[in-house]
Amino acid sequence: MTNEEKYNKAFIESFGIEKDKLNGLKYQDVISWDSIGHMQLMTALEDEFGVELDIDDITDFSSYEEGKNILSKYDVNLNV
Amino acid sequence: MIDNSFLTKPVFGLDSTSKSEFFIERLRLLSLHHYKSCNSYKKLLDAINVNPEEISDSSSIPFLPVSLFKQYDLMSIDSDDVIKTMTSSGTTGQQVSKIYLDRNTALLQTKALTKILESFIGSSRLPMIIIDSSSVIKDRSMFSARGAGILGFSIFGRDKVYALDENMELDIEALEFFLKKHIGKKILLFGFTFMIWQHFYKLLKENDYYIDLSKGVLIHGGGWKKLENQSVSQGKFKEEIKAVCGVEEIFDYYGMVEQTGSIYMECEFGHLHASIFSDVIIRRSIDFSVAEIGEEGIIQVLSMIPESYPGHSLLTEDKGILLGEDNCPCQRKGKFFKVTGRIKNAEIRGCSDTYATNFN
Amino acid sequence: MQKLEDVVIPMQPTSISIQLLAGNENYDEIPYLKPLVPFDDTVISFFDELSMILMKHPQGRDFPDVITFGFFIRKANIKRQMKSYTCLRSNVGRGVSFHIAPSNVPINFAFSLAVGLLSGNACIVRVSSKSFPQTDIVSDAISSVLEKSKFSDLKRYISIVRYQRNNEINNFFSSLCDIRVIWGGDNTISELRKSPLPPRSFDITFADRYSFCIIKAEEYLDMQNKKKIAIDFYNDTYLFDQNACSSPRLIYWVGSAKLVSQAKEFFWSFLHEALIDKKYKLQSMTAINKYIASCQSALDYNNVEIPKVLDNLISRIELKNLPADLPERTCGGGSYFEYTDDEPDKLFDIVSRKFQTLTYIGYTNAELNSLFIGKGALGIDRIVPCGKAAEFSLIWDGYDLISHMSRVVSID
Repeated sequence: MTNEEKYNKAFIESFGIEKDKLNGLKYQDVISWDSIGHMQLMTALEDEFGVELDIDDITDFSSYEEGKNILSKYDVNLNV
Repeated sequence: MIDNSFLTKPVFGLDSTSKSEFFIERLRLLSLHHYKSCNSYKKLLDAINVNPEEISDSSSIPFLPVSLFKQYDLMSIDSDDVIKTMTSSGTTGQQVSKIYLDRNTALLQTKALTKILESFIGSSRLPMIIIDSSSVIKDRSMFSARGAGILGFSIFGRDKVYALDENMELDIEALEFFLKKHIGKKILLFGFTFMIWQHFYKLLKENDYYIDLSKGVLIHGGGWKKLENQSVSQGKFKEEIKAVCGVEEIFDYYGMVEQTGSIYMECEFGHLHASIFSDVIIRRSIDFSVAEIGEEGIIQVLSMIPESYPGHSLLTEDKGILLGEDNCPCQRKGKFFKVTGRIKNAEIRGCSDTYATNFN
Repeated sequence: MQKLEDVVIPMQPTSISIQLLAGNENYDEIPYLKPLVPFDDTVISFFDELSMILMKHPQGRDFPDVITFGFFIRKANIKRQMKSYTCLRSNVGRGVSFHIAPSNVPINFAFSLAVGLLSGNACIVRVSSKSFPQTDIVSDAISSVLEKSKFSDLKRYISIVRYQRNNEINNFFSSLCDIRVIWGGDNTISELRKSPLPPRSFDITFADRYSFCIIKAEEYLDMQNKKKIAIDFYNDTYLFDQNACSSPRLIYWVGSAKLVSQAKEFFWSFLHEALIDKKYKLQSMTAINKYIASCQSALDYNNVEIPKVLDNLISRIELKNLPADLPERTCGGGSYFEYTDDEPDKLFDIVSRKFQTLTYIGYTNAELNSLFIGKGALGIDRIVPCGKAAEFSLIWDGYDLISHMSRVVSID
C-alpha cells in the first residue's frame, strides 16, 4: 500500500466515508469528524505511520490537505 | 477577523503594562463585534448607555451575568455556523448554559488551552489516565462541561485509558496494564475534582490499593464545593492523593463552560493565574466597583477568545480574592488570585413562598 | 357523639410529628367547640394581655414587627376596628379556621390568628417550618397568657403548630376546618388545594400579588418632608426586602418629563440616604439577582434604560411602555421599574387580578376616588398613602375578613 493509500484509509475508516469525499474535506464537514473523530484519526495516522504528532500539529490539522503538509514535517511523503 | 497574533505571545510572560495594550484593544474590538452581530448584546449596552467604541480600560468593559446564557440564546453568528453547542452541567430540571461555537472560536479555545497546558507540562504528549468513565463522552452531539473538559485535555494524551468503568468503579486491571506498558514514563492524569475524590481516591483507599503514580502529574478542576461539604480542604486533597498513589505534581484549575479554553491554572504556590488570554477583576457586591488586592468580592472573568458568542466579559457567581499582579513567587507574570467559594443564595423575606420552596 | 350527617374525621396522622408551640393539642375536639361571636370580650381581653407582654418584651427593639403586631392587637385598636362593623349582630364564627402562614414573614401567623379569633373561630395555625425568633417570642407569649385560668376555655380554641410540609397532616387539618386561610402565594395554594375540604368549607387565599406606587411629580417637588417620605417608602419596601405582596415594584411617575426628572433626583437620593441611615444590608446574591433582572428587562423589552446609580442598593429599570407581563417580574431586594406619563390612565392597560396595593404620593383622596373607583378594573384592592403598604388591616387583599370568616344567622 502506498503512503497516500494508507493516509486515505485512515480517513475512510475513522469517519466511515467514501474516498470521493476526501479532497477538500475539512474538520466538522462531516458529523463523524468531530472532536472525538479527530482523536481517532490522529491515533490512526500515528499508528499507520509510526509517528508521534505534536500538540500544535494536532490542533492545526484541520483538513485533508493540511494534514498532508503536517505529515511531511515528520518525513512522511504522501506522494508515493 | 480580529487580530489573532496574541496566540504567539508567551502565555505567562507579559507584565501588566505590556499586556494591557493589546488586551484592552482586543476586548474593545470584541465588544464592538458583538454589538454589531448580537442583537441582545446591543440592547444591553444601549440600556446601560455604553458605547463600545469608547472602551478604554478593562474595568469599563460591561460584564454579563453568567446566568443570562441559561435563559437566552446569545450568539454573534448565524445559527448555520454553529458547529458545537456546549452546555453547563446542571441537575435535572435546572436550566443549563448554552454556549454556541463556530469553527473559529472552537479552534481559538483549543489553542488557548494547549498553550496554557504546555507551559505547565511541556509540549510532548503523555500517556494519559482520564479519571472518569468513557460513557461521559458517549453522546457526541451534545457535550456537557465534563465531556468537553475531558476532550479538551485529551489532546495531551498519547495513549489514553479511562480509570472508571460504566458503573463508575475503578478499573484496576486496565490501570495496571496501562502502567506496566508505560513504566518509568511521566503520566498525565486528568479529571474533575469531585470525581477524583469520590471514585478514584476513595476506592483506592477502601481497597487498600496503592498504585505507583509518583511520576504522574494530575490536573483537575470543577470546583471544591462538594468536597467542602465533606470537609475536605485543598491541602487535605493533595496530601491524601499523594498518600494513595504518590502523585506530587497536582494542579487545580478554575474555568467555566462560558469561557472554555482560557482557564486559570494553579501554580506551585497554590495561586490561580490569569494567562495572556484572560484577565480577572474582583468586584465589590455593594456597587460592583473594583476591589483592592486582598479584598474579597465577586469574580469577573475576561477572555480574548469568545468571538461567536458575547462571553468575553462575565460576572460569575463565585467569590474570590486578587492576590497580586506580576509578582507571584512562581515567576509567572499577570494577575493571580484564589477562589473562596460560591456566593450563597439570598435569604429573602416576603409573602410569597415561590423562592422559599427552593430552599426548604 | 358523631351524628350520621357529620363528616367522618380521619385519625390524626402519627407518622410525622406535629410540634405544638402553644394552645390545644387535642385536635379532635376542636370541630365541636362552640363558635364565638365576632369581637368576643374574652378574645379582646386575651389579645390585650398578649399586647402588653409583647410591647414590653426585652427583645422588642430587635424585632419591630413583633411590636407592630402588639400595637395592632391592643384593646384600643380592636375597639376602634369594631366601630366599622355595625351589622354583626347576628354573626357568629363558622367554627374552625386552619391557617397556613407564609414561609418567610415571621409575624404573619399572628395576624392570621387574630382575624380568625376576632371573627369567632377556633384557630389551628401552621407556622413556617423555618425557625424565627419572632415566632418563638409570640408563641411563648401566647402560651403564658393562656395559662391564666380566665383563659382556660379560650385555650382550647387555639393551636399553634409546626410541621414539615406534609400532605397527610394537611389533609387531616383540612378535614377539620370550616375555613382554610392560605398565605404564601400561588404555589402554596396549589399544594394545599390537593387536600380536600368538607362540602361547606372554603378557602381564603392570599395569592401572589403585585403592588406599585404612583407619584405626582409636581406635588412631590413641593413637599417639605421628602426625608420622611423616603422612610415611608423604605418601610413599604426594604423592610421586607421588597418581597411583601404589598411592596411596590413599579413606580408610575405622573408629570412632564422635566418635572419627573427633577423629582426622581430627589426621590432616589433621599431614599439612598435612608438606606444608609438604616444600615440596610445588601447580600451579594441579591446584587447579582438585581443586575440579572435589569439585564433580562433590557433583553426582553425594547428601549429600556438602566440609569447609573450610586450603588447596588437601589436598582432602577426605566421603561418606555408598560408591558402586560410586568407583574411576573418579582426580583425583590430593591429593584424598581419606572414609567413616566403625563396622565395616570396608562395604568389601566396592565392592571389585572394580580394587582393588590397602590401606594401614592402627591394625591388626594378625592382625586384617587375619581381615578379608580367605579372604573371597573379587575385589580387593585387597596389604595393607601406611601408608608402604609404593609399595615395590616382586617380588610386584606379585597377580603372583609371578619364578615367572610363569620356566619350570618338569619332569624325572621
